[in-house]
Amino acid sequence: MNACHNPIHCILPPYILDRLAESSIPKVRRLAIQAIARSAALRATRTTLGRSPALAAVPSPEAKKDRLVYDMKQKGSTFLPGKLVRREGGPRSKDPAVNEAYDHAGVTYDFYKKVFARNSLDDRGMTLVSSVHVGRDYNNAFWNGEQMAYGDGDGVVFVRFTRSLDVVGHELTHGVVSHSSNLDYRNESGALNEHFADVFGSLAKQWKKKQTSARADWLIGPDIMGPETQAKSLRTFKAGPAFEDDPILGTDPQPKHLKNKYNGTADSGGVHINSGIPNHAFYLVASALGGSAWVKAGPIWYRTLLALNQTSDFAQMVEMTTQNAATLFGSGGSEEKAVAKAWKDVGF
Amino acid sequence: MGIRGIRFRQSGGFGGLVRCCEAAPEDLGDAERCALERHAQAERARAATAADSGARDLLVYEIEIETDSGATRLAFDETCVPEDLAALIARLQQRARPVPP
Repeated sequence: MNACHNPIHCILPPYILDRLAESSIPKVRRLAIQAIARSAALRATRTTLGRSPALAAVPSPEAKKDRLVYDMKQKGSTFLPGKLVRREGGPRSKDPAVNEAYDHAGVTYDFYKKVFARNSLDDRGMTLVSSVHVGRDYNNAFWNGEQMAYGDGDGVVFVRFTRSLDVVGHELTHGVVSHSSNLDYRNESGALNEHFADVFGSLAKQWKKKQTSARADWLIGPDIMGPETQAKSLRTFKAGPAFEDDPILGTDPQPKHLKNKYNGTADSGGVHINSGIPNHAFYLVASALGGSAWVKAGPIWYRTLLALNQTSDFAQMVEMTTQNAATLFGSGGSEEKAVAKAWKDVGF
Repeated sequence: MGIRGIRFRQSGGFGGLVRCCEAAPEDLGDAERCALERHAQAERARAATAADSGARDLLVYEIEIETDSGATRLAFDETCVPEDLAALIARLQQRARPVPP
């Protein structure tokens, strides 16, 4: 995708500003040059934050769990974060979206702390900032490099995105990835970025529910699907599509084998599409090892997340997870064999 | 530059779903046509660079503009939609249908 050449506000396009900067009227020229400079500064800030996420981290007062929830009152994302409506330790809100964002962020924080000894997204107690009621009928949730943002859905295809712990865990894990391997968000590295977000979003849910791999649903987004779609979830770690020939959503595009890998340009090179391949491999590992997935498969994958770098690809993921299984649980053990077999089963 | 048609593609977002539609020149208002031509001209004059903002799961909108002299592709994430294309993109979003990627 080409770089956005407009600032966040996107009022006057650059070619207009360029012409105004050559105006014979001094005031017009000065204001245009100022706008161009602001735009360049904003672009530089966004690029810098993309490369150095630590700069965007809001430190919590005492480097422990700290949550802030804001209400956007259906305004667009240019107005993030919105109005502060709940802070850490504050009373519950009458607004279920606020409480869901708060509670699920808390569960995800606790999951990373207790299972991986990780103190928030940056491992330094970074404040978890969430904004709810973003936009009107907004069918999406995202991580903007600094915070989470959740739409309410249109009530047709999706309902509010804060309902799903795996969605909240997914978005927060993008923050974890940003503060660790910082995988480039395109092609295979981007698919790994999405994969880790799905894995740890799912594990947070399974951990909260105290589920074994066998009892877990291995679905992404089952709680946000709207009444007019027949799809039960957006994605599944299991073989086969999450939905097929749905009149609204179509068919789940995720491949579960390397031979079906998407090589086009949509979705930044298929980051949400090709994540299906490592997702299925993780499910196979977890199923083979039995018990709860955060006990063995989780640490293998977490250690790998920390070891990869911005340009890591699927081949490096395969190698690193296999190596880490041996490192953590012994060379030649059932863990290493399960990881190797899972990758083989999905085509590596 | 005469616009012969446009192809719209929405992808990305949390769901990663791909939706597309096409529009004929007569589907565009005069202001929209002018805006597309201006953005296409600016796009051709600019070297393509991929700046990572650090944002994840944003919706991505692509408009491929077909003209007599070839095709030009515009791409924006949902936080970067130019004001003069916002209404057109909203309309194309409504019209777009799910397609295999």
